[in-house]
Amino acid sequence: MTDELTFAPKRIEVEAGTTVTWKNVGSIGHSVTAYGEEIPDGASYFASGDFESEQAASDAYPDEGNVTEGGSYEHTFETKGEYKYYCIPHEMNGMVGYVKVV
Amino acid sequence: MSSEPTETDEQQDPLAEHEQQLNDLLLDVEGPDAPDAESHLSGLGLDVSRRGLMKAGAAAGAIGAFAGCAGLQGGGANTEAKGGSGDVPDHMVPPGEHDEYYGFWSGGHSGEIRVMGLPSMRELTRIPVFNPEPAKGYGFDNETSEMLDDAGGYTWGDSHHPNLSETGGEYDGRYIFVNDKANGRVARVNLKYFETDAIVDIPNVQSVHGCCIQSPDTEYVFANGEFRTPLPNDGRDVNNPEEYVSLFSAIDPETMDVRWQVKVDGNLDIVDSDKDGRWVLSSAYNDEEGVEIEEMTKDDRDSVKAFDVPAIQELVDAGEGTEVDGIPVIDGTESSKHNSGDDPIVRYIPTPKSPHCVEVTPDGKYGMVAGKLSPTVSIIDIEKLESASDPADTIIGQPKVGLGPLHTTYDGRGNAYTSLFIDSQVVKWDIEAAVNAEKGSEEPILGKIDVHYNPGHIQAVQAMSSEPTGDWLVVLNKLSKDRFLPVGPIYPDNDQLVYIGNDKDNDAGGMELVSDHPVYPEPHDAVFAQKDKLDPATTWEPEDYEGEKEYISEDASTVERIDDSTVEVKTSVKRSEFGLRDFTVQEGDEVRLTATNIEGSKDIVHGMAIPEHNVNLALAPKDTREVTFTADKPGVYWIYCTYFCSALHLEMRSRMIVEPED
Repeated sequence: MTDELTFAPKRIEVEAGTTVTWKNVGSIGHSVTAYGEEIPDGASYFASGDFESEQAASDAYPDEGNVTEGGSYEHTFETKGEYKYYCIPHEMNGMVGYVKVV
Repeated sequence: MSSEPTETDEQQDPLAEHEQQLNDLLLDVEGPDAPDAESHLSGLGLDVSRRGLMKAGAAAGAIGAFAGCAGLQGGGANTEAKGGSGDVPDHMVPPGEHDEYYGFWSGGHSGEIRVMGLPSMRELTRIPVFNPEPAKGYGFDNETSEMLDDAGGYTWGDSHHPNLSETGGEYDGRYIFVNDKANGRVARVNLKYFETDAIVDIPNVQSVHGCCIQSPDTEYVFANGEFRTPLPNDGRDVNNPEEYVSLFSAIDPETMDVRWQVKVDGNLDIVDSDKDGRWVLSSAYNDEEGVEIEEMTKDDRDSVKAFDVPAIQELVDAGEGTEVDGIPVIDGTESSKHNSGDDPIVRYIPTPKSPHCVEVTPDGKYGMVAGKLSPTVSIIDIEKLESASDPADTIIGQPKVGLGPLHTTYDGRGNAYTSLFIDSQVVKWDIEAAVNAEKGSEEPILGKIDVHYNPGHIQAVQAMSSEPTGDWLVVLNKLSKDRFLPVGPIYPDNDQLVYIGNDKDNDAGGMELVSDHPVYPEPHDAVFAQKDKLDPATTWEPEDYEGEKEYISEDASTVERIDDSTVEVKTSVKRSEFGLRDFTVQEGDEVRLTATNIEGSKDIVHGMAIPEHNVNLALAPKDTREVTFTADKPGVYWIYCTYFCSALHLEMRSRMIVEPED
């Protein structure tokens, strides 16, 4: 997560069972928030702050789920398929990312 | 509307009056035996004098744009831009490319510094100095508003002479120092952040005109007190003009404190330093010490002052000064005991009356004093200042250059360029030829070009340092008259760019007028540095304000009540959020707001405005600003970002909720 409002890299591919870590390497806070409708069927929802749903993550931001300077968030992907996620404050600036689990 | 014959009469009258003024002036300055001082327009192909041409034009009713007593009609074949002649580099900088030079202009009435690129003359930014300015939030946060208050609390300044700091005689990119003529102040601009960081309101001085740094190492900043007043000006001697004095002030560039002052005869004007840290030359007028114009210009001579700085410092260190308002003042008047022996601390060098300006050559050999009322430039040999028994002997050359010479600049190839206010020209002349020629000779002249109109300061690139680069020259014309679309009765000035990189044997001496630039009145002077002389920051470095202001991270955004009537609000700022979505205070609370832009990306500036409270912070990346205000009106106030920062800029909000008193 960068001050240029990007997830870098934007797209990654990992094997099932991999733990992915997002680190904030810039100054300003971001969230990692999965789109509830854009994760594989049966996959567990993920979001910084460890919420059960996209709605819960959105409601709690910015008091929870904001990964500030130097902070990080991790999630282990078990279910194969494509995941799409975004940063709540910077979604409109195009700050979205993809994880493909194979 | 008046009938045409009446208009013609009206035009002829001021013109005739102006002609008479010029003739009187020349007679007065040069005496009845003076040689013909008229310059000539050889570019017309005829040996026609400018003044003759002007008269003829007026008689034919051809001067439609005549404006004011100093106005002269431009014309002649050498006035047009010649950028297409092939040997002049393009002054247009292509999109996306950078200029070669920084240019720093004083803003005049605006009190600011304007930064432009050369040769494009594109305005890059403005640096508010003596003036509150909203875009940079200057005078809105606590730090800058307190600085302006401490410097007198005036809401404007009249900035004249920007000076770049030097190390070893070369621009070091650290500071610009600039004066305020209106209120007797000098300010320092930090070139890491392009921000004013100190202003000194000089004690005992009402108006600072000339301002320069000491070459080669900026150990002092010097300020010429122009207006003569009683010392101190506290109501004593108001009706005794013979008790009024001018003061020359030396300022410490690091602390911005005034170290000492020297009292002199006459009014001080422009000032420049030699290149060795010893002599500082000041042009001056009104040695008569009159209070009305007729008295000020009565005598034929005025004395340039040459200050021996180490000798003055020695006297100050020995406790020879008289303390006035906390500043040691040394008596440097002509009759002072410090000037009676073989080693005077101030040398009084007689020149034709009311000269204007001193500019020292880049090699430090000469100080050029332009005649203003005399058509000459007096060349002072700086080496002779120590040894000459008669100060008049230090003037080793005095070429006749044209009417109304005001300022001189240099290309580093042995040529000088002098602005001719009355002739509306720039004259190029050979310095050594002028030293070797008879005084009053026109032989050293290499060429002239017309400029538009009535030039004041003139500056070639890096000419105030020991490294002139000699390719571009800027002429700061006081009048623009017909050069631009009319914009009402207050006209823009006209800054003209001239290419001087070619030394040619033609009427213009190779000078070529390249472009016109309208400028909001009224810059006085400018100074230029090659782009690699500066290394500005792209974001703030929080360690530069550590201990002074608290850096507010996202996690540290809080609201805390300090007491019954004081609330501290701390907030981070990022795209597209304030660290506090809202905060609540009580009607009448004093709010102490601290805001940090936590962005690490360059050019992501945020603003923080609170409507109807005059709160307006400009927050560059990693910068922190504080503002204290009273929330005296109950209600909801939408705090918004004033810099377009992202696609969600418009939605970037916080709320200040002011709850009513019971």
